[in-house]
Amino acid sequence: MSGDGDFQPRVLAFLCHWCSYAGADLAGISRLQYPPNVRVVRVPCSGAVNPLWILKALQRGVDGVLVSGCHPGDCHYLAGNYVARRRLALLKDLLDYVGMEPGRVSFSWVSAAEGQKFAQIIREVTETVRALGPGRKLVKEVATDD
Amino acid sequence: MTEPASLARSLLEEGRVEVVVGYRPGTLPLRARPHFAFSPEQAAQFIWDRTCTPDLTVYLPRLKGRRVAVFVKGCDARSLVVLLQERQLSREQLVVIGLECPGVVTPDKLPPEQYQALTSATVEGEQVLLRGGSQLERVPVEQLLADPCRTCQHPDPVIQDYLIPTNCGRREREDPYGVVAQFERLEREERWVRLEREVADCIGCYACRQACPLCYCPDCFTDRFQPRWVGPIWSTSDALFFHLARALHLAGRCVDCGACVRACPLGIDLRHVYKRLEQAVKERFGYVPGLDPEAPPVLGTFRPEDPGDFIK
Amino acid sequence: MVPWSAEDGLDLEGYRNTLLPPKEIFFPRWEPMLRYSGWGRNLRWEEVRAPSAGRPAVLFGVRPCDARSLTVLDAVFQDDHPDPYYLQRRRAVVVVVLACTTPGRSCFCADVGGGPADERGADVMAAELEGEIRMWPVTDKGAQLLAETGWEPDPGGRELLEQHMQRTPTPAHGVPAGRYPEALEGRFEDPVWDRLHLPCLGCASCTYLCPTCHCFDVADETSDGGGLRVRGWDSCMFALYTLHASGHNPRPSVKERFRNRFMHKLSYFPKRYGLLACVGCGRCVEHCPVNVDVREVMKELVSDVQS
Repeated sequence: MSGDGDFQPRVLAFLCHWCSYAGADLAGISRLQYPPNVRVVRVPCSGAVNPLWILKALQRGVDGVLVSGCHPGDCHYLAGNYVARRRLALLKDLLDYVGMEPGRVSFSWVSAAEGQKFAQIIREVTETVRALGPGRKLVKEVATDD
Repeated sequence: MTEPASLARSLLEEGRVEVVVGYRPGTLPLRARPHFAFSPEQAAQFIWDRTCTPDLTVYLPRLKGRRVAVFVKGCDARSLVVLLQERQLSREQLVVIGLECPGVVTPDKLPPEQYQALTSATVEGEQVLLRGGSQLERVPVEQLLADPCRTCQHPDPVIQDYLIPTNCGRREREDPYGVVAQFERLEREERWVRLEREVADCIGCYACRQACPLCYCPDCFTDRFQPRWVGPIWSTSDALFFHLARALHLAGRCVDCGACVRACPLGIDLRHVYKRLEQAVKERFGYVPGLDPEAPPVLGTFRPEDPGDFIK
Repeated sequence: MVPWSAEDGLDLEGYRNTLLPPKEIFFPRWEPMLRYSGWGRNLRWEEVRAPSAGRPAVLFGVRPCDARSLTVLDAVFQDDHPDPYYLQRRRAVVVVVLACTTPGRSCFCADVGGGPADERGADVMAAELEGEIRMWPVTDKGAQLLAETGWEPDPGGRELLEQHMQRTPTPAHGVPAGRYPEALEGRFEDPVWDRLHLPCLGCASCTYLCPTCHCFDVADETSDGGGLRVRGWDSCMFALYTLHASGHNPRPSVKERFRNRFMHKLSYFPKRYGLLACVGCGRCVEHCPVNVDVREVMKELVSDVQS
């Protein structure tokens, strides 16, 4: 994984069990092609995503993070995605402000019926992160001296 | 007897409260310190002047369930409102003594060598008299005013049972987001470098967290092990993680009392980061923390029409 | 303390003391102990040391209070389990102490058995007198350094410093040092703690800035398939310090932690090692966010006994 040309980014995706995760399944069943750079963590709801997880992922050297939940109004728990939207908006504003590259962390609404959209989002996110290069900011180097 | 002292004395004499939390003179120039009076005699030491910087509401969650009177400036009253809003205290247990606040001074505005050479200091009107041995210097209060006071939008307590008025003049309020705009003018890469440089000195003493009235969690994320969020190697990355996570936890809650900045022994100042989140909350959700004890916490609620422009 | 090179020059104008004590040179914020990888039968591990460990160095400008704190740390780290990490660093470093010709307002070294010209903990003693730096050796290690660097030993400096000190105010605030640990005997349950601890916020700025505080924690920094075992500073002011795996905490609130901090410095430590674990540097006085003043706490603890 050296040189810009063959850089394969690692993207961590937090997918809501009730929508985006099923959307990923649909994309798979429909044999839609999308880059294999994404690692999926299934969560019960986008509202369950703790912003600290995202920071931790970046700290452990993930190149990009995606959080994907249900469209507004579709939350299985009625309002989880609305609460997530507020919280994640502030995370995004904070990261932008302190100088994290835009596109390092992305957000999407993908329903269980949107296999096409899921594949498209993964393509976009992967290409954006690939263009940004490896995530370096916040990465904790485990050296033997301070 | 000063007005704060006589008021505290009568509250204790009448048995209205068990303890009064206020200020008394400190042992260092320009630093008043917290004082807890349980008896009318102990109330004699209370003062209120422009060196009374600590936000005393930080002690209230520890005194949960007890009848307490507390002195609050404008900012402290706002942190009290957030504590009430988050059900950390009940209004019935409290007697709130509001202090109309002309702004407080902080020694952080002096170069450390100059401050450490001082033997005493007194505030006289709009002047501060600094004494270092036989040296005497007068500086305007303005020069030593704490940053949050320069932009404070609510210097008078939004909640109180008694009010101690000020006879000091009010200053013009500066743009609260001036520090944010200044930082935003820097290139993205430069912003990250500056932030890293700011926190690089952090030793993880958590004075900022402990001085914050709204960091009341009995079990902070820094104390968790599965997963472990910070440490045991204490690198700049850990310091960044800690400060960014703390900023997120205070988003929509921080009332800009400035306690964290003043508490830091290394002089780390991330006030502008907290101001940026305050600004984001205001712009996105039209909410200002610390004004309404009945309002739901801004991140515990939502409106269907909240902006979602950043979501694909 | 920062690395110095000859181009930097030396500017002692207005220098009182460093913000952080010199302990971090000998006992860093964190340092590695061993690296491991694999599982079960495939577990591999090796001892590791920080590259900075054992690197020869000269510490210049250490104040007498901080030099004396090294004797306190030595007592701990040379005890029944000599600590190789600390001792390796200690052996490699020569300490040049700069006498305090103008002590600071929060200094109280003279109250706790030290003084602004105290030579304990110094390898070489230096003083800025009449615009000149005078240096003389205290230990063999110091004499060797002066010999190697071609610096003429200056035995007259000591006498000159003593004369200067007679004209300088003593950094003392009437803290009655001699009466510890007797004054704290049987005071564990004393109601005075209920009052004294009240303003304390429970942060670790006092312990992290303290030249004699030396508590550490050993933990693993894990990464994929392995990890690094490190030890790093810990503080008795944190709840986590005494938290048991069961969830029980024998020091559940700030009161118990505050009491422990003072009992340890003024009673337990002197009883075990014959030294107060406070050298009067005044850092905690200057930097406590709420101005909890150790000098006042000490005075109160003793005056309570007298009354």
